[in-house]
Amino acid sequence: MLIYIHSNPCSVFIFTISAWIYLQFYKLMSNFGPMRLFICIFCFSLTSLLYSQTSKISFSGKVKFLSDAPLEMIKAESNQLTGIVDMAESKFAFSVRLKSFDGFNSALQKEHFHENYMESDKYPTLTYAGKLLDKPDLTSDGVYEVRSKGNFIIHGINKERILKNKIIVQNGKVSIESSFTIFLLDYNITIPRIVHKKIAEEIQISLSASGTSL
Amino acid sequence: MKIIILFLCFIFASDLYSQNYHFNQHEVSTDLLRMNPSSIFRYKNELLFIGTKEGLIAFDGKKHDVMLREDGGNQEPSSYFHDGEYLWIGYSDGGIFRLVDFKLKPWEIAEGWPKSKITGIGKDNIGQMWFSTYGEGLYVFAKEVLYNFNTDDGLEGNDIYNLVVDNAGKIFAGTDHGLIVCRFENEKKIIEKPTFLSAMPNEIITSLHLDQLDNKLYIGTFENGLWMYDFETKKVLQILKTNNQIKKIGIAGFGILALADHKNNPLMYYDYLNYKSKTFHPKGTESPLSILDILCDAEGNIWILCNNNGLISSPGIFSVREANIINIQALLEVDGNVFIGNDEGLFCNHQGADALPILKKENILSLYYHKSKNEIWAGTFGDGIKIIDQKGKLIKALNEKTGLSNNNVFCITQREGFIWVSTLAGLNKLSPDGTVLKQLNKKSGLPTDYNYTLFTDKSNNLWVGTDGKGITVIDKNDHIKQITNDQTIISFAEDKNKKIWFSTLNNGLGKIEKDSIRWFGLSEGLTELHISGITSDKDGNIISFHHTGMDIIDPDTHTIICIGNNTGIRKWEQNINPFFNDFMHPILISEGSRIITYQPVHQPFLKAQLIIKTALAGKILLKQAEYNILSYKDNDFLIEYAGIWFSDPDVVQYRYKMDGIDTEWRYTKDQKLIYPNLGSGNYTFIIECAANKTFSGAVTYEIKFRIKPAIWETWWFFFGLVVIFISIVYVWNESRNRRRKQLEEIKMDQVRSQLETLKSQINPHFLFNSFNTLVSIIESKPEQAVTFVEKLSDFYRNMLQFRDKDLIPLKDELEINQNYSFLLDQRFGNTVQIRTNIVNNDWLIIPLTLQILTENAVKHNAASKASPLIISITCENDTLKVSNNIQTRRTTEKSTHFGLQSLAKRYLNITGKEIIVLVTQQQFCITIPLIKNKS
Repeated sequence: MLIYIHSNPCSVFIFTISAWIYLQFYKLMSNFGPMRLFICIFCFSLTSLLYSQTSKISFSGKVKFLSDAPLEMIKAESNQLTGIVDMAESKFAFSVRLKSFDGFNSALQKEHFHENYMESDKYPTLTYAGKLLDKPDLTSDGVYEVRSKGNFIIHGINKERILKNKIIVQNGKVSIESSFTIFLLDYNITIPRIVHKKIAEEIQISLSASGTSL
Repeated sequence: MKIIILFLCFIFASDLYSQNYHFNQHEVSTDLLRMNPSSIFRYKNELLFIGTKEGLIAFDGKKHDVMLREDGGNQEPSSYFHDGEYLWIGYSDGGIFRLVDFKLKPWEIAEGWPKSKITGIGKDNIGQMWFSTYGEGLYVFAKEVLYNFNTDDGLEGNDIYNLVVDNAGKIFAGTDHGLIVCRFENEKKIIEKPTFLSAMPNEIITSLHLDQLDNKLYIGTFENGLWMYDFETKKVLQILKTNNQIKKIGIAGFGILALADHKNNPLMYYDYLNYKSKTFHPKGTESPLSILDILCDAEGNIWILCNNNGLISSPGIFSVREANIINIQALLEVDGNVFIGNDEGLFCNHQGADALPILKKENILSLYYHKSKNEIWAGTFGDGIKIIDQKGKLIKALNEKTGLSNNNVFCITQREGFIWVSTLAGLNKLSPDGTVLKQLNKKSGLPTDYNYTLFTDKSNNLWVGTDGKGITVIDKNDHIKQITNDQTIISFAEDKNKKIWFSTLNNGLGKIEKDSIRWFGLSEGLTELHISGITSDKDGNIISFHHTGMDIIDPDTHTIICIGNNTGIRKWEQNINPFFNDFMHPILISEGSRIITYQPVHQPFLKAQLIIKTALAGKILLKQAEYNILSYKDNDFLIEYAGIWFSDPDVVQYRYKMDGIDTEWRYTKDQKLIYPNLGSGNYTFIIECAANKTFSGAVTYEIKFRIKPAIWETWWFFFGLVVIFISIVYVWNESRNRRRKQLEEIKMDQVRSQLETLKSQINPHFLFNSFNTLVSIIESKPEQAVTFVEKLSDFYRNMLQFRDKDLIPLKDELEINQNYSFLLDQRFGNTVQIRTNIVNNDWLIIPLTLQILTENAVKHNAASKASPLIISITCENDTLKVSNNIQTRRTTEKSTHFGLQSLAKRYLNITGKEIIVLVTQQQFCITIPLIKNKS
């Protein structure tokens, strides 16, 4: 709650006003004696609950990719996936730095990945941002299927994709899981004939991220 | 294990069953692939439009034109709509254009275009235009105002995938949150969810397609396949199951074709005759990898736009199935099982599996399905009739022993519950259980015992085609009637007007009309006289099969269209009646070892369409509906057009005629015509386009125009010219006459003045005075007398010399006057003084002017020593002034006043100036105009 207020100047303003209202309220409640503090804390937490309904959730987690070609399987992983979901507006944005991927079969493979295919110096990040098509109620525990529609920006190419994702709420903690495939040709990533059998045209991607309410 | 193998077999079999469509690549493809194509559209049977990143392409089967918008916006079209008059094109950047006179014209509205990609355009039944956008919701243009439907109006998202208008005028739009129905009434935006949506999963609707004829809406979803909503039964049904997004839907002759977002098998179709969904593999070209768009047009063609082949198309009305049986003589389809008879036996192609033999060592000539008993009757050559069930089990055999007149069975048909069989020994009428009830042969009135074919029409007449003896009709009461008697009849068919058509062995087709037979041969437009059989399609058109294809004949207009090329079919069968037609399923035709399926399309009649691209006279665009009136300068007629017959673009030809120039039709295959330098007059240009040689039922385009005559070609201009000429001649003549008259007058005056002068010179007074003078001096001053006589004679000589001349130099005139003044001196002494003061004498003067004036002065005035008469002659500018002091005589000489008058007249005629006579009390002054000496 406090973190949220600090992070948003608008909320600071709202907080100040509401604090003043509570102060007046507190004075009014003075008749209630020792109970007044309890009542005030209850009311306060009620509004903060309303706030959390419209809150944003920041995510951090990991993303894996898998290229399953006839001759070679390439796997890499990054744990620097960051993202934010605004449940009130049904908007989201996720991004990961390409250079943070690790776990290639060899150093040469990693170098090829960055220099020949992804051109990581030119296009340093992968992003996926857009809106959620479904509005789950995240106040109770459970697994929710949420479709997201957004634009992937990979290798400088912008392409709209609709993905199916899982939002898991467990003990009030929110996490996201998703897996999907991308076609290299869609993003102008061409595979040289020689390594044709080493790199799949279809790359499988899976990600998981856990969220903290802001 | 067994079950698994069986199941695998079934999958294999059903895959084999899938029909093959032959695709041809179009020449436009190489150009297309450079331009990044993305969409295709065709309205009815007009041009095909292809949307690319570099503009809109209009394709007529052979040529293509690129059409660009000129406002600098994105050139990539994203949606199309034809309102019956104009083609509307929505662009990726929100631009909306219409195709007017074959040019892209922006659709201008005060509010401006949407800013997002246009994904759909439609028009409702009250004329409101609807637009769907990807990012800004829907737009409706009502009463000249553009309204927006977006999330503020109740939409759940602003991304609209597609828009269609149903037959009732309702707007259906596909969104991320399912299907919505929109209305705009009384300036109120109404957004509803259709009730049938509850029967569908909550899905993203990515494509929509309306089947106007069957009144069905096809709904493509993101990952729940394809759904069909029937507006009549109000039921919704899933017809294709797939996890891949349905991107486009088309209605092909064989079913509903859908383009799914799948790398390897993007095409699927739903076979609505057998209620099955299948994958679709275009054959004839490299297998397409990434399909961009598909289209099923009204002509029956299937178009595929793909990344590796460009534009390919198939006349989707034909598909080919491998049967692996040769020399097919009879075909029958029952519940998806195809029975094939040849000279080796009967085979069954069960649900597309390999043909299995049912009857061996039989020569099967005919097949008949007895529906009520679910029996198949196979007529053989030499072994009577075999009755079997669908699985091939023999139920009964009919032959000579059971009462058939002969064991060679050519044809089996039914009429009113009875079976009729034609054999080599006449006809047999059988009860459904096979008992022979009646026999008809030569003895009982048939013209021959050899009858090839039997046909029951809708009025229950039985038509019999005989071998060389024409047509026999057996009516309901079994009365026999002969129609013709000299042809071998192979096949019969009944058209939509209940007229019977028949085919002969080698003499083409005949149509039986009220009292006569109308014959169709090559000159009537048939492609081939050797016809293997005829039948009719669902619409009642006659189809004639021959070895190069099939002719389709419209029974109303007798237009004949041949379909054969570009179908991928190599050789059409030449056996007699090698087809099967139950008027419900596609028609089956045998071709070598394969079976062709012909699925006629929903269309009144197939014909080539004529599209006029431009019709220009000079720079003026001609309009078809109007009588175009043109100025004489716009006399170069140019027309560009395209004949559209995608089934076979090569056969399209045109004939044209310019009434006023051509007396006969001219034939061409060009798509552009020019008539330069047309003279003034009325013209009617007619052009026809056809896919057949006879031009029957051809589409005609007519344009009328008049070239106004040039101004110099008009009658009034000519008339005016004549009037002007006549008046010029008249005026010239008049002036000439006047001039002549004047000249005559001058001459007359001259003569008269000469006469007068002469008269005055030989005036007795003058002579008498001169002689008196001479007498007075002759003795006293003889030398002076001599001089006097000399001067006198000089004077007369000069007078004679100059009197004929019009003008003389002033110098000469002065000399004459000097002589005269000498004579006067001698006569009057010094009482008459002539003072001449002329510096410049480079002038011309009428001869004897001075003499006349001097004489005048002397005649009218007295002179004495005391008061002499002083005549002064001076030159002032271009005038000569002759003045004298007035000393009136007491006795005046009688004067005719002729001298001065005649002089004035002459001056007026010659110089155009008048003599000025100025008389004061003391002075008499005459001013004479002088003439410049030009020589």
